[in-house]
Amino acid sequence: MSILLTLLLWLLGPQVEAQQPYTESIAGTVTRADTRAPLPQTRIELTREDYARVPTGHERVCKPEPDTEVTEKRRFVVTDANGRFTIADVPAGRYYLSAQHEGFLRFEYGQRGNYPIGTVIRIDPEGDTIVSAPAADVPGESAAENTILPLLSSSTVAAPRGGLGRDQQGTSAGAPSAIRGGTIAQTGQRGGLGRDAERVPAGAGANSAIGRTSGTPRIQLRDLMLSLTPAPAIAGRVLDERGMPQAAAAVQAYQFRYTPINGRVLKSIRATLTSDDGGYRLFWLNPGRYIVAAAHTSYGLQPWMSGLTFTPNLPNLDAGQPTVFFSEVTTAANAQPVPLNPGEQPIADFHLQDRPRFTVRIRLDGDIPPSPALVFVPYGGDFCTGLDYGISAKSDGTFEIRDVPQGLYVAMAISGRDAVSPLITVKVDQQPPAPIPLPVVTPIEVRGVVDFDAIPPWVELGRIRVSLVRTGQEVSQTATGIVDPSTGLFSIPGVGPGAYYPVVELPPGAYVQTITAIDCDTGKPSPNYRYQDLHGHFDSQRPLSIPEVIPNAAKCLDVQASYGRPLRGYVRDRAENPEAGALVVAIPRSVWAVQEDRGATPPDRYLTAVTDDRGYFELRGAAEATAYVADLPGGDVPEYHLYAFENIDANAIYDPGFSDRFRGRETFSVRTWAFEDGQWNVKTISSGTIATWQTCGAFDAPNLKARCYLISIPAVETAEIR
Amino acid sequence: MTALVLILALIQAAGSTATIQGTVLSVTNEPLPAARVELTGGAQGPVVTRTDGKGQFSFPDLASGRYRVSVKKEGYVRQEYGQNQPGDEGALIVVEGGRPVPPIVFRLQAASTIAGIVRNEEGYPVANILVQALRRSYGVRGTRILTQFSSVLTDDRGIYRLYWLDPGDYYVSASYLPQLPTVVNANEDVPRGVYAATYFPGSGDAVRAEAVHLESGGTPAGIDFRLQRSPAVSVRGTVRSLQTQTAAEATVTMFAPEESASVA
Repeated sequence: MSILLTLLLWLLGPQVEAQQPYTESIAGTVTRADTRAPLPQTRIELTREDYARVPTGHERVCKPEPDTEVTEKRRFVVTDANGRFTIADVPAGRYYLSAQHEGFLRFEYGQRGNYPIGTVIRIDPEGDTIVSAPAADVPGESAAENTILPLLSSSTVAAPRGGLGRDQQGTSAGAPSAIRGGTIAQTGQRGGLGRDAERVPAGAGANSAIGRTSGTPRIQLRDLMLSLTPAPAIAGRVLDERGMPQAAAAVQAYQFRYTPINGRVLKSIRATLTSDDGGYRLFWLNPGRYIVAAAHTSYGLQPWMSGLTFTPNLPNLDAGQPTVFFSEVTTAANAQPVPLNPGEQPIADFHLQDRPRFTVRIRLDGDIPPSPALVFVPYGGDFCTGLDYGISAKSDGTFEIRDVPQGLYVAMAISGRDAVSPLITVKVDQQPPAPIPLPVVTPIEVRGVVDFDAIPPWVELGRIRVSLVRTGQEVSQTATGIVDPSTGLFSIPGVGPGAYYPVVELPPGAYVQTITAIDCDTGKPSPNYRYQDLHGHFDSQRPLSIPEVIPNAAKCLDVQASYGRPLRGYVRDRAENPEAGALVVAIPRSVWAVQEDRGATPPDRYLTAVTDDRGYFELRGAAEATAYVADLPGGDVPEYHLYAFENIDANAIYDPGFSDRFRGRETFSVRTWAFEDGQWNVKTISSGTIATWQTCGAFDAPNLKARCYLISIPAVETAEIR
Repeated sequence: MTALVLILALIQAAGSTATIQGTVLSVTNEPLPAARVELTGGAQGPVVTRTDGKGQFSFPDLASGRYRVSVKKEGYVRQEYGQNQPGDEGALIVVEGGRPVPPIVFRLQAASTIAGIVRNEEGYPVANILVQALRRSYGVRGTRILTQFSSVLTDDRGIYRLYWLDPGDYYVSASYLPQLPTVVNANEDVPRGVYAATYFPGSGDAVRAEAVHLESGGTPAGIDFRLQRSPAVSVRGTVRSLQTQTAAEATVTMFAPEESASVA
């Protein structure tokens, strides 16, 4: 409520910033996709393209607070009783627009498939020019690159059909965005071309307002239609061996998440309890594939006890019925994933089997911290969920967990949110004779500084978090600190012993060049805690180690941030029409060339971007060549494989098998250009399966030394990737 | 010496243990298998057994002492030996020497269920609404209060089932739960409609709530709610320490003067 009020005040309040050069109003209607009825109370979010988003595939903090921070880059409104919304005074720029309502799938304007990956809305006084977000303010070489791109998008540019080796002149009139004649005029100003009527991308339909053409744009911008699909559910029944319904059994939906750090981890997405008929509904799920598990344990009920009261007629649980995964297997690895699409309601039934249970006692060893609690979760579990299991100590510093089903568990002591012990693995296969000792360790505060000097001043840093992500498969756990934007200083309190990877969330285009563990006092790199990365976020062989002997621990981190170049290009469909809303993924050499260079290439990040209404994309933050070690196989040239997809769960691209599945299917053309006789000419067109930086001859002129890198990727993969 | 005492104790024990046994039946005298029977009062803490196919149970080798026996069975009202009605104190079973204890017969009443649908003003079902079965009792000052017997959340179809209730009179309320107890997914990180607590049959005021009478085994359906969006207000204030005049860390609870569950 207070958020809404704040929003309202923010929106109604006087706009003190003087003289916005150009603003525009965006308005529209939100309806239910099933009944077409208007959807009031829907939250509409407008974010500028360069709003820092949490990188996909990274672990997020436990229970994030609802992300409703209003900044210059981000605004919210709520639809009225008729489902209408208006966002006034939107400055020129590139934006994403999304709608959220409980019980419905999040929808991003222009999205093509099941996943909320939408296209950019362009607000520009020119109406129909491409604005490349940072370029507007950037002098020098970046601007030079930007000069090229609008040209390619304009209808005066001819693109060879089918890309490779064909006659540039042989273009079809049916492809309005194709090149005519292979030459274009250089105007020397951003967005100088492209005034010609743009083709509205296929499939955009009523949502095509962003394909602005002269004369219509404002009308379209003010009548955006967003249609929300009800979120689907998985339902079923939980029975015991004799077919009797099981009341108050816990049923959870998990998904495999591919993280760059720990590989595939099982992440709990949603949980619920069965009713007296054994029935359950895991509702409001996003489309995807789910691992579903049921268990009947008082241990499993812990998270619900605080909020709900069970009938006293519910028998206490003392029969061992540990976790069963769908369908009727005992491990997640053997589980059969349940595919879930919008409008579907798959059924997953379970039969619980008896298994012995034991009482586990754990005793704190050492100085007992204030109000200690125990995290006790199944091996491979989620520490975030574990916090809910926070079992309080008895007065003598021991913990007792009853009815623990046979299996493997991890335990760790916490005080508040601080980890005050190492993480131990507990195998429960018989009644442990004595309490298991758990040594108490004073947690440390990991401090550090992020050096932003290499990031251009026009990049808005926003709120930056530095996280330590626990390595290993035992349990997923993250400790996080916020970076002070003025000094770059950060502090992560309450870090217990263990091995961690530092992860820094930076704005698009920025990346971590190195992270060095240093001596806090002298600032010198310390031999005690080696963590150094040539480039990228992490080196799987060298985590940051925080030993149990705290004086030897890594306490200070020096993070050097850098800023990468953009990779730009187009996605066209088979008919050579621009493909809007395609997800473009650049996978670095360190991933797909593992066998060839045996880890010699330093780790690098995945780059992702979405094409706008003209099929144009910009992948930000590609590594500089200098960031690579010169004598590596493959030279000092960073290399990426590029793919484009119409409908894919962004999480799937982090699957290590992803690259193998699509190897050899990357097809794109590389064009080089030369500036001759006052105009740009296409000089060469080549093809390849590896995208590398190209030096573009004439581009290396004093004011145009940017590397030329222009590609076109047919969006061949239309199927959803599993 | 210690060993001798121990041996003597064992001899004595062997000659003086008793067995508490019995049968668990429904009120219509059907045997109830797999009922959970719990014996308390022994030196070892609670002992639990399950009834067999004939509804029979037995706790053998009990030393002299005072014991209590209670039964729970899915779908039935729990019962303790010697109890007049659920929730009351039961009776002790005294084991003295090896004297046989007469068999116990439990006759369990079928429990009751209240079920219904919660909808909003527009008639759409509302999920994640807390529905509570409340019973009237009296607070320390003699005021009438409603205490929660059982609670549950509605699903995405707005459906709830308050199952396995004791027979008796209940007040049923549907209210908004700001903090969901379950693991939530991304779709729920959106503004949720805030609804005022509603008491069946449709009042925002607990005083005007009507009791739902439950017979044993009764399952009145259609205890439905139509929620109104609440003109919710925030009540703000400051708690200061008298000594330091600084804001103190304190928990502030707000509750209606009578006959209402607390809202904070």
